[in-house]
Amino acid sequence: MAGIIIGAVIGVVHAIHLCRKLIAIGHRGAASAAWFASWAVLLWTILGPYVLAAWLVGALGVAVSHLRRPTGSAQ
Amino acid sequence: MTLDGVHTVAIIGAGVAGLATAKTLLAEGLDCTVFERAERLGGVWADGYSNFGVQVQKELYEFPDWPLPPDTPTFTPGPVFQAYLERYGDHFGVRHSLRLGSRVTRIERRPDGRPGWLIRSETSGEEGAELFDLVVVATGLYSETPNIPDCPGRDVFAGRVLHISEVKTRTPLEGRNVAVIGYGKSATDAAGEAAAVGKDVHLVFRDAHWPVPRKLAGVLPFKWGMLNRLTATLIPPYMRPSPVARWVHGPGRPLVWIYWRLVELLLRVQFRLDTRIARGRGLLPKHPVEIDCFGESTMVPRPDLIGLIRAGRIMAHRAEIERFTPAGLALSDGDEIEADCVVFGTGWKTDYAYFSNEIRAILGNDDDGFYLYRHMLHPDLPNLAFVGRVSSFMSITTYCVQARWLAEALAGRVKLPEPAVMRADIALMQRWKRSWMPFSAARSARVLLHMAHYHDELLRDFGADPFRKRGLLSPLKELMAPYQPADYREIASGEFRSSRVRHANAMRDAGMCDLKARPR
Repeated sequence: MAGIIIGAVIGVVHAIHLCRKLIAIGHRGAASAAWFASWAVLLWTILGPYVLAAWLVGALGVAVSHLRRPTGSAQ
Repeated sequence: MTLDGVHTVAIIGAGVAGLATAKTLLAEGLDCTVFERAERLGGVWADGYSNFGVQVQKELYEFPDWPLPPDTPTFTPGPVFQAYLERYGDHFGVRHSLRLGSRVTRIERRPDGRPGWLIRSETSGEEGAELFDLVVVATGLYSETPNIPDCPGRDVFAGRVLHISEVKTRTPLEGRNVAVIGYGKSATDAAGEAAAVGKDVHLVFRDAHWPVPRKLAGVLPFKWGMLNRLTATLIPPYMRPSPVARWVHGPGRPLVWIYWRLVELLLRVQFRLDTRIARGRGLLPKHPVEIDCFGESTMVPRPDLIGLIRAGRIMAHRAEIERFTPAGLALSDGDEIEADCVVFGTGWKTDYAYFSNEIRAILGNDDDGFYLYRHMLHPDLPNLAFVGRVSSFMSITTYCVQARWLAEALAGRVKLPEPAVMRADIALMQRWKRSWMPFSAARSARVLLHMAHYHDELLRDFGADPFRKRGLLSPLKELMAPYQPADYREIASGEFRSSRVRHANAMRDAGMCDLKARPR
């Protein structure tokens, strides 16, 4: 549930950004921008739990790799 | 900065970039002359090494507005591609502008002080000099001079030393002990050729690099994993990162980290990179894949390469050449290998011998090459442009977009910034690349997986829509589907301008706000 909520929130923020960007560059009209924005909300909401899980595993991995290489970055 | 008053254009090189430029500028009504030193058009495709060909799938390496015939093999062989270029030249009327067998020997400023350049050339032993309003250098990243490292003891070596460009057939490799130097596409191709006809074959390279498979996990063409906007967001951010990229590489960094570690795992398993080679070393690269893929040797290897190494048919050595010996090579790891033919697959040098000293001084002599505004213009060299001095995963498409940008700039539809702004932009690109991209002699020209961002920038400059996917599912396609030449068809053909007008009319008729009709 937390993943869905976080995903939806990020999705709305992303959708607003997309709308503004697409309108600014004149991408095929406002309806098209709204369509892109809807997809952003939909995908972030559906995939939110998986993205959250991947983020948590990744955070653990980054931390471990930092411990193994204390003077370098994860890269 | 302006490109005003241009009527005559000299294009140096009749390879892919030169042909695309000539076609685009001819359509704008300019008088073009294409200088080509070889007797055939095609550049690197006119005269390649044994069994050379395109390393990516055919739908990624074709002109956006002139697709390859449907019966072309998936990985286009070099001679087939050269024939395709000949047909392109004929179809778009470029041939009558070609001056084959004509080598440019010098480019210098016009002696009368007017904008433009004096080109000195040599055709069949006869020298000529002509004035042009604009010169477009379309000879690509590298010169015709082979890059052969200076190794001690070459004079004592009893065998043959060849550069890959001299291996036109398998004959020089037949029945010989062959050592191939390098780990790029041409070196691994040469090792494969030698494995087919040679005796013992050695592949000597300093560093291993992450290979790009033709199909990810043997199933999905690599373009689906590499050439979409999702991947473009996950690579180290572009020099002017979008807010999304800033977020992804900030708080979202663990996602980026896990994505690339999974990609590494996939490649490690698929290519069996844990394979032990000479001295117990492996084929696992040192650098993470998202950094390494911006290096010099990114390649899609022939599918049997790792199999040949595992079978011992190609003996791989991860070492440097210490010196030649009478019977072969001594390596930095202490091994000595016997060879009677050494093939350098180490690329070409990056000099532009035909530039006057003044031009060279302005371009500079940085180790990673000279940087240009939009990879095309130098603020202190007006009326000189470079098309094709950029490396991307779909280079033909990138060259076509560059040629379109140049045509739009010549027509006044791209407002070029003042030289000071250009210099600031160049300095930004320099800092950005040097802060993370692996060093190479052509780093200044590397775009590779940032191709989508570079194309977007050029398209925005001349008011075209950078989001090229169409249809109801276009948002999903923008995220997941690979960008390929077909997406830029209207850009290459110039039809994007009429489609903008159609769109504006449709919006006006529907009584809707027209977002594209804003004055630029």
